[in-house]
Amino acid sequence: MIGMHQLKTMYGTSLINDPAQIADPETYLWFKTKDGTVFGIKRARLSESEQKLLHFCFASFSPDALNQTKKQRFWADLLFNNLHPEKCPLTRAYLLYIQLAQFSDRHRNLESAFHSYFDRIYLTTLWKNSKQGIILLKSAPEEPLDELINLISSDFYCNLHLLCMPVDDLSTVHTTYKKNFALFNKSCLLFPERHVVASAHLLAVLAAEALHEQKNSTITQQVKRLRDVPPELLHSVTSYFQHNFNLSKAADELFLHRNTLTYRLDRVYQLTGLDPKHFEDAVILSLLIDLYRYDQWKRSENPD
Amino acid sequence: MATIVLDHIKKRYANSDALTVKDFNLSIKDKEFIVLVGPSGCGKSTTLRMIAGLEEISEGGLYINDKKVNDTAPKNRDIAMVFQNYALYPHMTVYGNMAFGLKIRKLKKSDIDKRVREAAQVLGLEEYLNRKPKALSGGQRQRVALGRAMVRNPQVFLMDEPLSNLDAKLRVQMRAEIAKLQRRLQVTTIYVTHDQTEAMTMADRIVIMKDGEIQQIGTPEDVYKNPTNMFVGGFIGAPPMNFLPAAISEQGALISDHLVPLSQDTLSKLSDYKGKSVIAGIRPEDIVSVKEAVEDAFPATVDVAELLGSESLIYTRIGETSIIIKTTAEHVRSGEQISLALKPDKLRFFDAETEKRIL
Repeated sequence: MIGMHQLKTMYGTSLINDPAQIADPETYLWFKTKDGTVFGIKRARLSESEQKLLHFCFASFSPDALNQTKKQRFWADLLFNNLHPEKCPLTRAYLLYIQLAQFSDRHRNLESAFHSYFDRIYLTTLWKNSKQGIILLKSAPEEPLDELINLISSDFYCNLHLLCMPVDDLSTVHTTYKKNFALFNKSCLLFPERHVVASAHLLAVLAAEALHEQKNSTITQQVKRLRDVPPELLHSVTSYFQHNFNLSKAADELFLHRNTLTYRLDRVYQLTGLDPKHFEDAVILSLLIDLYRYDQWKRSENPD
Repeated sequence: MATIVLDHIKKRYANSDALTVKDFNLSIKDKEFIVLVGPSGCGKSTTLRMIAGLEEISEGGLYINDKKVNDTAPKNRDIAMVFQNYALYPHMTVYGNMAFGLKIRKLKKSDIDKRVREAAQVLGLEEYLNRKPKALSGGQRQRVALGRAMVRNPQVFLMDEPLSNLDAKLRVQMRAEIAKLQRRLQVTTIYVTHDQTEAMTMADRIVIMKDGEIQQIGTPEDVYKNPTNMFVGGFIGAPPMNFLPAAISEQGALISDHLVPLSQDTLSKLSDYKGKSVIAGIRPEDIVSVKEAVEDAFPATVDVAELLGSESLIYTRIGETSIIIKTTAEHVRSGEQISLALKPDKLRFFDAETEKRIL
C-alpha cells in the first residue's frame, strides 16, 4: 500500500492536506486515508491511470463536506452520523439515492443540474463520497427520473442509478438510510440495466438474501425450476413486463410475431405454472426472475 | 472529425457469465452515418454506451482517430449523446437547456451565446429560445435535444433510439431532418434503433445485430439485396423476405412440386446442395402475380389483399407456406385465384440448418 511519505516524495508541493489552504479545492483530487488523514493532489499532475490507482487505494473525499451549508449539515448529521438536531425543519422528505458508475469530480455542477431538474422541490445534495450521494427533495419527483439519468449522462458523461424513497419518520432515518443504501448498491450490481431502481427491486434483493440460505423452501424450488426455462423465453417475458403487458410493443421490439410471443408466454406458463398474462401470476413471476438472477450471480461467484 | 474502430470488443456484466456483446468488429469512416439495428437485447445500446464510455469495455480495443480510448475518461472523448426520451431540464428555457452543457465546461458567455444561436438557427428553434420544454411539441423537444448535442461541436454523435418517443408521422419527418443535419454538419454519427425502416432510410452503412453478435454490415441496398442469413433477410425489409422450402435438382429449384428453372451458372454454384433441402428466399416485389391461370406458375388463392395506393400487398400461400407479394398490378380481392411466378435471378438460397446464405 502506498504511504503518505511516498506520495509526498512523488507529488511534492502538488500534494496538500488542508482544502482550506486553497481557493479552489475542485482543482485537486481529494482522498482520505484509513486513519482519517485528508489529502489532495493537483489534478493537472495526475494521469488517468494515476487517478484510477489512487481511487483504488484510498477512499475518495469530498471537500464539499467541509463547506456544507446549514441545511446540508443538518441532513448530513441526521443521515450519516445519526445525530438528531433539536429543531427539525421538515417532518417528511424524499431521499433520492445516487450511485455514479464513474468517479465524478464535478459535484457542484452535478448539484446545479439536480437543482435545475427538480426546481422548487429540491432541498439539497449530500455526497457520501465521489460516487455516492443523496438528493433531498421536499416532495415526490414530478418529472421522470430516467430523463434525469439521460441528462446527466449527456452533460457529465456519467452512468448513474437512482432510487427514490420517502422518509416519514426522521427518528429512524439513519437506520433506514443505511439499510436502503446497502440494498440499492446490491441492486445496481445485480441489475445494472435498471437505472431507476424501484422499491420492488429492493424487495427482490431483500427476498433473495433471506431465501439464499433456505435451500429447500418452496420459493427456492420455484426459482430452481426457472433454470429449465430457455433464456429466450425469460427474455421475452421480461420484455413483455417492461412494456406493461403490451403484446404488440413487446413483440415489435423483440422482432417477433405477436403469435410467436403469445406462444412463448404460453410455454412459460407450461414450464412454471405461472401465467405471465395473468396479473397475480405475473407479479410472482417477475419476482422469481429477479431471484433467479440473484441465484445465477451467487452460483457464478461460488460454482461449487 | 473522427474515424472509429471497434476491435474485438466484448462486454460482460459483473452479474453474469454470458457476453452481452460478443467480438464486435467495425471500422467507421470519418463523416459516416452508421446505424446499429436489431431486436431488443441484441447489444446495440450496450455497444453505443461503451463507445460513449458509459459502460466499461470488458475486452478489445476502441480507437477514435487511431488513438486507443478504452481508458480515456468519457468527457475527454469529444462525443455528444442524444437519447430516446428528450432529456431536457423541464424548468429551464430552450436557451438554458442548450447552454447548460457549455456553462459547466466554463466557456465564455459570448461563445455560448454564439453557439446556441447558431444551433437554434439550423434547427429552426430561434423563436422558441425563451420557451420551456412543456410549451413545445414532441418534435420541437427532440430538436432541442439535438441542439444540446450540436452546440458542443463534438467529433462524434451517438444517438440511442432518438425517435422512439415520437408518433409515426413525426418520426418520418424527423428521420429525414436528422439525416439532412448529419450531412450538413458532417459529423461521424452512430445511431441505434430497433426500427429497420429508420436504419434503411438514414444509414450510409447498417450493422445488423442479434444476440450480441454482428450478423451483417453493409449499405442499405447491399443488406436488402444480399442478406447474409435468414435473420437479416427477415429483419430487413417491410414486408420481410419470403422463405420457401426448396430442393436443388439438375434443372433448378423444386419449390412446392414446381420447378423454378435456374441458370447453369447458378446451378454450378449450388452443386454441393444437389438433391438436398435448402431454403429459397425471395423479396415480396420479386414475385409476379397475374389473375389468369398460367402454365408452370404457382396457383394460389388470395387470403387478404391490401391496397396501399399505388401498390398492393397480397397475402397468400405457396404450398403450405404463407407469403406476401408486393405488386403494382391490378388490385385483387380476397378469395380470388391468381398465378404466381418467382423471378429466378432474384432468388436467394440459404442452408436449411445453419440458415446462412449459400447464394
